[in-house]
Amino acid sequence: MEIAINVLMFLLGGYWVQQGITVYKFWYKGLPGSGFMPVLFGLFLMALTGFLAGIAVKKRVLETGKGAMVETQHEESKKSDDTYPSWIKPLVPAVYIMFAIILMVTVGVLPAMFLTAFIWLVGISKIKLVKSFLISLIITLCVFVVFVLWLKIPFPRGVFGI
Amino acid sequence: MSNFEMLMQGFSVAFTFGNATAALVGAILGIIVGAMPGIGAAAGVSLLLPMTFKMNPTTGIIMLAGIYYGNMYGGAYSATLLNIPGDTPAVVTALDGYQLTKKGMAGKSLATGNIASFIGGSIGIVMLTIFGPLLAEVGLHFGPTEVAALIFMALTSIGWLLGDDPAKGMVAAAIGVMLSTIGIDGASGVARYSFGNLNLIGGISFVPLVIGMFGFSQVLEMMAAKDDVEMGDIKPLSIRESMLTKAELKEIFFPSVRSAVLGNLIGFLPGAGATTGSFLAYIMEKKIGKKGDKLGTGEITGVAVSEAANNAAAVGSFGPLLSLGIPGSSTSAVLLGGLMMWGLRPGPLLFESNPEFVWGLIASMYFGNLLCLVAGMGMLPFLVSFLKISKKVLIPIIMVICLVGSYSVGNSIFDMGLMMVAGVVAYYLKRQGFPISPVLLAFVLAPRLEISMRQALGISQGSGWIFFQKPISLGILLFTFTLLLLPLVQRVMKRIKAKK
Repeated sequence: MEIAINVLMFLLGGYWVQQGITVYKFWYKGLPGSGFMPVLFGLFLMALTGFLAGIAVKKRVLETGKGAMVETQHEESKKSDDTYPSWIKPLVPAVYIMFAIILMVTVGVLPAMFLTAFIWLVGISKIKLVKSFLISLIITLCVFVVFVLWLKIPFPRGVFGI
Repeated sequence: MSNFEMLMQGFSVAFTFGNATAALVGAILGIIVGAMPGIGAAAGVSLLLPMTFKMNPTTGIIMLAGIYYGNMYGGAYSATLLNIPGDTPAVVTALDGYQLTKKGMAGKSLATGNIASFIGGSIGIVMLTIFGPLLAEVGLHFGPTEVAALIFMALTSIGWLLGDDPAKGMVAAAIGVMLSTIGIDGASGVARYSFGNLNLIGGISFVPLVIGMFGFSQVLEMMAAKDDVEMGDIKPLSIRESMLTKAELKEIFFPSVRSAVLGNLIGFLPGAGATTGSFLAYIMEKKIGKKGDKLGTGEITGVAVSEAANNAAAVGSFGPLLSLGIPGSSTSAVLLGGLMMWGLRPGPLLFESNPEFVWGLIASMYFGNLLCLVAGMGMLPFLVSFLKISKKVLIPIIMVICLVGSYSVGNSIFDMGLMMVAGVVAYYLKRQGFPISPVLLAFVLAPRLEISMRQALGISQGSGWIFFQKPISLGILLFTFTLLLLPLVQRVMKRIKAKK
């Protein structure tokens, strides 16, 4: 994971540099152009992530060699944190947020926020139906009072017009 | 007008009904958010930022500042009762606080935290009143060259001070700078890195970014954490039992004062923040304090030094923010973003152009700090129940706030998506040991850095030597390079010692 993140950032830095030089111009008419800052920091990012990726690769090589035999317990537990279910589990709220956004556009902010909270509380948090209903109702009321009544945010109204 | 007269005028602003209420609400919300394990000041301020947009800037910032220093008070609760700091500055508080809880002295520990926080906050505010305007006066003499050097220093010190790995801190700062280059270039009018997306032409919106990075990423962290914290048998606390005796007050007073002074000075440094302040104060007390050798075994002095220092540092971070426009911590970076959205430009001119705002804010801190003490003591018996709120309930609440908060600023669905992406990216970066605060600090500071650098290079007709010809910028740059080289030198020295 660490190597992948560093490589990704290295590529991102490279893209910033490439665009900065070819499209936005690093230096223009004797003065810094629009690409000046992106190129400088893109190069900086490439250098640092290249260095970090190198260290991570070296570490991995050592770990897979004889060094792995004397790995400390702490390192073992850290390693197990990078297993598939462990790093994929936190993505559940991200997927759920997308569902909530679609819900907000289709049914309007208040029903959407109620359903977002209620479905999570019942389905994922496994909280009793009545308690979940009450908590969701309070959350929706707070959203209504603060954001709709007080701040007058023009939220999408959805099919129900609320 | 003298500082004192300006401060008195500030009090007349701070004591209007709206502003006083904002300070009170901010203080209470800050204490509650701070008491909940794992949310933290930056997340708390980010999540509540959208609620202040319809307020006038002074009222809004008074409330947000109240949340910030209230949070420092509240952080001691979960640190003391559960051994889980509500925020990173309270990590040090947990060392002695939790030991005191084990000894059945949780109430005393929390009361010590409150009183020391008050001492630290008060000293910090007095120092801000004196040194803030002085710093602004120095800042008035800064041209683009000096400003660029100063921001460069802020960016690099962010990198090496935050996190265990200086290189990762600098990577995070570079990412922040690169994100800030998305959108129209202020100098040439060219739209950069917008990937043909109309929503990105104006640049990345600050509020969704910050809510995602600090609020939503917290949800992902809660999701990843295995179970709810075991509450054990925390006994109900009473105010009477928690009160300190005269001897105890005497014991904590001087350590709190010296820690507050140190913490405040650290808070003035860009990127250092309250966590560094409390760590250094604790180390200092261990070396010079009467009970230094006993710290860590459950001493009220340990709680006092940590809390005094982190409050003083939190207030101290307002110094560079208001005077130079450079945030001292991630939370003050969030505040800076808020100020810019209200159309205010923090920096040396702010003291002259918006004195009622600056002095109103400083005056409100005197009042707010007192409110925090009273509220903190008064809420002692009730705050335990906030600790009992399960993360199973907190997750959907924070998610809903993230969603409506990120939408409410630009009224844009795209912003909600941006918030989600920022949260996911921040979470995975944190997981790999990359600190997130430098991303935000760099994102906020980079536009000024770019303008200043290009102006300076314009003056010198493209020659970079201008940064080394002016004494102030040369001094700042030399200091910065020393900071940068320090971790390297330390590493080399360690290797030499190990070989010997």
